[in-house]
Amino acid sequence: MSHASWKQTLEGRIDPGWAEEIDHFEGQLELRRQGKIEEKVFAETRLRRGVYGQRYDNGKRHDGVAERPLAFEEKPTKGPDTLWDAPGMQRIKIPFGGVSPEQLEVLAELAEDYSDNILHVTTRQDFQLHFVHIEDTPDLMRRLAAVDITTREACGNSVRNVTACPRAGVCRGEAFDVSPYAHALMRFLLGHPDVQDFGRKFKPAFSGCEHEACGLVQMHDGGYVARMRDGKRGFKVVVGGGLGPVPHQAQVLSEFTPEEELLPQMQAVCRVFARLGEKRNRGRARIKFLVAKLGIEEFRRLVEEERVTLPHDDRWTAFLDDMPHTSGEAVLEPGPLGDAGRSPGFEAWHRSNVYAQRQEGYAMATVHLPLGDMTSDQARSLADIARRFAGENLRTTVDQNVVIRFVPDAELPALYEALCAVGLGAPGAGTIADVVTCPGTDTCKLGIAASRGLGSEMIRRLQAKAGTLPEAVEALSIKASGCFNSCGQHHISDIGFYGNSRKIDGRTVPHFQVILGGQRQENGGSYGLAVGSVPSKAVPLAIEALTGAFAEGREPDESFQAWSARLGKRSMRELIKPLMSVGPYAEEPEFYSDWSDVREFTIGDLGVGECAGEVVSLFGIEVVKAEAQAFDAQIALDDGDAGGAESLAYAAMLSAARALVRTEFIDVTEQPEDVVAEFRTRFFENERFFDKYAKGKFGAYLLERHANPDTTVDDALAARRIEEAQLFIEAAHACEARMTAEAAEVPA
Amino acid sequence: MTPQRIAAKFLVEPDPAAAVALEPVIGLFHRFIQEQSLPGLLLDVADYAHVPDGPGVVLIGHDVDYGIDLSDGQAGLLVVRKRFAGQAFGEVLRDTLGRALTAAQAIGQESDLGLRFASDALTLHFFDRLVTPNSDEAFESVRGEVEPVAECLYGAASYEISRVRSEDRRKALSLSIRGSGEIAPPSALIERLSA
Repeated sequence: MSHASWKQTLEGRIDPGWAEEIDHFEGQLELRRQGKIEEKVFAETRLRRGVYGQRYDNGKRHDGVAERPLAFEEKPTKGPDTLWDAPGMQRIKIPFGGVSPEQLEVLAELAEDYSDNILHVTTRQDFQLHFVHIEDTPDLMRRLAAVDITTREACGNSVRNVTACPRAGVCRGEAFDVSPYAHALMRFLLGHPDVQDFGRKFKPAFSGCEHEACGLVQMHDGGYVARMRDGKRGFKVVVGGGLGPVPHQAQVLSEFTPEEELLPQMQAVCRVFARLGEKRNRGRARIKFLVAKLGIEEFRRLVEEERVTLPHDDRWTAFLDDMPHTSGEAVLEPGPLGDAGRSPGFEAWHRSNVYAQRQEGYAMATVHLPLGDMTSDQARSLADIARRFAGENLRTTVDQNVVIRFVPDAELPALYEALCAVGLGAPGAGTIADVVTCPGTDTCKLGIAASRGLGSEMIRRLQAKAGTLPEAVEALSIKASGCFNSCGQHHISDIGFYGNSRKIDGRTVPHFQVILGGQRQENGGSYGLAVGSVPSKAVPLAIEALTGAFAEGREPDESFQAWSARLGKRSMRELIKPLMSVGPYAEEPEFYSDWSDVREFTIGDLGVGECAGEVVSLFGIEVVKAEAQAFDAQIALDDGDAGGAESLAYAAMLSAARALVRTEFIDVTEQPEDVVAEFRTRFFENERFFDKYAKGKFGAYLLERHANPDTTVDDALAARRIEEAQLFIEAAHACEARMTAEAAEVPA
Repeated sequence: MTPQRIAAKFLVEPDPAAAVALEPVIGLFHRFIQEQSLPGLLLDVADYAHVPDGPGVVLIGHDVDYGIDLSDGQAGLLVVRKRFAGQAFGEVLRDTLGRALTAAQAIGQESDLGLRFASDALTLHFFDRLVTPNSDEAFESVRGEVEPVAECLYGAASYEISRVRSEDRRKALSLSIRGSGEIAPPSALIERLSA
């Protein structure tokens, strides 16, 4: 048996710069363990290596009865409120989703040696390993680096994974293959001095075309759409998009940036963002806020000004010299799909999971991973299958799947059999059963509800109906996030959900806000809006109600987005309204726990503990008015009344604030000045309204709107204000829950 | 050297290939955490029931994970021992098996669940590509550590050790132990290990 370390074993097989970085990280880890560097400094250091915290890493967990301490050994922390021995998550960057069989094999080993035998594909084409111990991370990074994978800047306030359409290079509609450009951008910016001083993260994405969904550039901080002009390659460049609590559509920075200007222009964008972006208020620090504040014209002017001052860098164009014509080469000769020798189930799989490439005789096959998960054994088998049928041609996708490209059509039946043999032959990729979720309460510290539990249940139910659903329903998309931060990308699905909670019968009930009518096409071209919050356990029935009505009531060829827009939010809400109420605990206890979790639900793991309060609080009665106003704001926006919508959204925030104030000062007037003044004094300045992670962001929505009413209101501003109102109301609910719990803890 | 992780799997009996209802296991594992029913610092429950031939449902712990595992198409109790720096191989091996048998006993006592585990055979996995690669040399070395433990469980000359999953050298080193003759009940096996 070997006594050598991984560092010794892999010496000479790792890029020297990367090896040094990992050694440095290991040194920092040891210094922090000895208490020789500050916890905040170490936290940022590890985050920039993709080493995240995980739920319960503060050493407290609510077990359904009470919050209990997790008795980890006393050691220095890994960051504020983050215990050393608590397991965490390791995020692994996969630029443009490109992963080779060899890399997949190493990931499989790491999942077994350091994690829980599961490789999880994220909505940004990364891999994540969970329940990893921090002492294992340097060796884990070395093993990745030896196969040309880095975790650097997988988190932290820097440039995150550069994503790209998984069809890049094989797409029938693309202008050209964007993969080499995505790779070049990633290499250029990785560790670049100009990306080290951001107030917040920056997520870039590439698309080969304008109109499909795969690249989703409109929801990214920086987006690049391939364009040809006069026979020359270039990009339409957009900036300032993003989901998160308040989603923004990206705006056009440049209609055509020639390929040789791609890197310097991005460098200029990064410099402007680093210099002028918000640093103190984390909730306003993404570039979307800077672009919105400056206006795209001024932002463009600043970028152009900055570009002129940049010292020349040979790397800007060096990558163009050895640009591959397309990504990947086939290992097998093309051939047509014959009629003979097809397994049962092949036709259904072929219909949903296979895409005809622009290279004649070849196809791209999607391996549908439920919730983005596969085992180490499956990963190794997938590596073998890729080698046999397609060489190096694997890509992860933002739908949490993996695609195999350059499979000869003639080999598809054999490929299907090989995938089925290892449990990877599920049909339904890109259908309603291909549910996308973030980790939610399973592992995320910010999760409110169990998005994965819900996703798992939906997959089970929808796969059972495969082949029986109307075609239009089968083609819908479902995405769920565990909270308002949108990691599950709920804004851009036909039917989206994000987790929240409601106090009912003195207990907390997990809910999901229903978001309808988002658009994936046009690169995530428009965002859905909330129509109401449904108890978690009623979500499957809500989906049945919505899809049933859609199947019955749609016009021929009418999309879900067009159908829901035609009927309007009020009608949509009516469809789910019967499912929105929950009976008392004694009658419907199942509603008081979440999917895949038998514990009575609590949001205590997010902050302070909870316990039962009064049955119906004054707040509970009053906040209903705020929710109704927020909903009416959406109706007004649908009706084209942006000004009215914005006013109603503001009114909704005032009502929610007043509901909170009245729990302490019953006689507060309805005058906005009075409500805001009381809210500021009683809840904002003393930080009682603050979210544990978002801090004062949600409260500031009301204060800023009250202090600076906009003189001109367009649809985008109104939509943003509605989102802000929704979040303010959610924060009011959470604040009231904390107050109730604190009151119950005070000894009589 | 002791490998990074050691895992032991006891198969469900009588038919490990039959479907296992995993939903009740989630509830059971949460209760185990509440009641601290199993050895180790127990942290949370991970539900992977949606993954074909996957880890099933796992009770994640600080130094040990307990799972109703479905890998290789065979349901069983998989116990993964981790974080035991400085302890000798044989010591960790005994501890892993002791915890696995304790968990098998605890789960077996849940009559509503109807899960029983065969104790006449088990599979061991050694998750450490550096210390225990899936090689002939490493197998022989590991066998030397495993034999005294197998003898302790089943008696001298009453067991057989064979290498499994050797056809694919990328997989973790694994071996099976099969006892013969009369097999003692789990409680007696646990006592033997701790003696």
